[in-house]
Amino acid sequence: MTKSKTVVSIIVMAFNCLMVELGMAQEIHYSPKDSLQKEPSSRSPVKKRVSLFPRESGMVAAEVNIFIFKVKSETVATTPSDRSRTQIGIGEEVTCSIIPASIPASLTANWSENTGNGKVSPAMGTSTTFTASQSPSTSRVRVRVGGVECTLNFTVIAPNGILYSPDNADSPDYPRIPGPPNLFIGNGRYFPVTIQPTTVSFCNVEFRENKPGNNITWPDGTNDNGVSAGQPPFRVLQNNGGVSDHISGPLRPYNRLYNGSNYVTFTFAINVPLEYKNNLGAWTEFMSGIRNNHARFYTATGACALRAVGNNIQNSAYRGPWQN
Amino acid sequence: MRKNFKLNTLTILLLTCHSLINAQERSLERSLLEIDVQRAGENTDTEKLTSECLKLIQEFNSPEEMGKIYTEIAVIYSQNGMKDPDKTVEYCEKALKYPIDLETACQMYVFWGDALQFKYWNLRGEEFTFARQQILQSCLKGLKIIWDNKIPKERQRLTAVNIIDFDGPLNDPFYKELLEKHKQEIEVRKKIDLQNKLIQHRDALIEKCAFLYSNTSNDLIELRQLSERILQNSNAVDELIDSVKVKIKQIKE
Repeated sequence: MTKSKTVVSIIVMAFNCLMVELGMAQEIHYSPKDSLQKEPSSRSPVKKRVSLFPRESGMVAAEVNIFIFKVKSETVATTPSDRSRTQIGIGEEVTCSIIPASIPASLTANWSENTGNGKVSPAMGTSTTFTASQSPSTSRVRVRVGGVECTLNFTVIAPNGILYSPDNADSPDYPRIPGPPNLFIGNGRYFPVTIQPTTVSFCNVEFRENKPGNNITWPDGTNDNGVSAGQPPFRVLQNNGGVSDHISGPLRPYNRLYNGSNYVTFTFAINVPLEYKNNLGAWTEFMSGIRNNHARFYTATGACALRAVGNNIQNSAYRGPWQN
Repeated sequence: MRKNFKLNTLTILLLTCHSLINAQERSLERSLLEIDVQRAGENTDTEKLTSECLKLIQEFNSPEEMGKIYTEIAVIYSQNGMKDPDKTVEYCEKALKYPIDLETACQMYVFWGDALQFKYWNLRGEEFTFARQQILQSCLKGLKIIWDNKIPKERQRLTAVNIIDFDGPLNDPFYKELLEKHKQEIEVRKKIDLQNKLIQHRDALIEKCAFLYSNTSNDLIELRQLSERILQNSNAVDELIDSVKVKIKQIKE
């Protein structure tokens, strides 16, 4: 059978099937046959060739190649384990693919993202990597194969919290040599953290603590102003964890706790607002310093414990006082 | 004393200029991001956004700044569903004439290849062969940058950048030590992020090469000849041909 010169792609159908979208593209090849024939379908479930030839002479016969495809998505992050999820974190990457990849030479596949300020790369080919916006949004990734259009919808969410795990390591400058003599106070521990929610990955997000610095007046009247001020950036792994918050203080004289007549208990907290960088490059707060803070507790005898407050609370053990 | 005063004045002047340059740098970044957030794929008003970008050249026209501006325009056109592949090619080409960072340069070659692929997809026979060579050139130029930078074969596992809350004085030696370690963590992570991005571009470019040959019985002689000329590295050529063969097999399956 001689295939014609004209190839027309027309939309047959496109429908959603849960998270997988299916599309069907047809190529119509006109052929000058004058009898009706039907070719058997290809063995492949996704490619069909149907040739239709009119009974009456003078009519143009058509051979129809049908290319059926589906579009699937898989997050680049292997954690969380559900990689076909359509709720993703800001900045998260998703591989979107046409199945089968063997699209006919006469067809082409081009990708775009039309609503959520994300990006696709490459924009042509049987698969692309969609990178979500750095701000919450609803993204619509569209692929056009021949005349057929299929879309994948993604909900892009921002972080909303932080969970602390029990402290699991010493700060390099602790522990010191225990007293007596009880000359110094202080403590330092690492608290593993996990950014919430863990149903998506925030591994492509730039985070920072935006600590304004707190003013402290010790019982002996010493003022420490702007304590722990700074904006240290941090980055998490695919599971939003793998990061520790190093909470510590320097060795301070035990006399800081002396109020002129007695050694007393003392507590202060450092406000730690958490921020992420959005698609305008602006830092956006997702945990205020009230909701996320780090406290130090001193006993009158000079022991110090650390507390991390976020979506939960974790306390370290009391340690000290120290000789040096 | 007078000499010291002059030196101090000069230092202040230099520091002021430095901060002004940084402020201007931030301002271009910000201006481009403000344009970028208006992208809406196929619904993007490309003419409006292009014009907004080009207006920035009046204010920001150092080679680095021009590179950033043309890059943004190339992104705008590459993301609009290939409605105007010629514009994509034009601005990718323009961006690549300026000093742009490694990752952006590779991205430009990917989009350039995309645009040519879209433009020529319905050509057949000799016309297609000629077009294929053009597409291949953009892919191979991108791959050359990647190969020259010797990136790993597989995506690298991410590393963390930890958090510091130290309530002591900023000049405390221990705090300085913590900051130094933190700085190193940031550098390691940046390197891994860059490598993973380049791996993503490499795979896209190889897949593009494979796609160009997946529907022909061509034995990749043309690809080998072109890649020998552009990559100028026999190991890289062999590796590319092998990768393309694997990809073609995957596509055909």
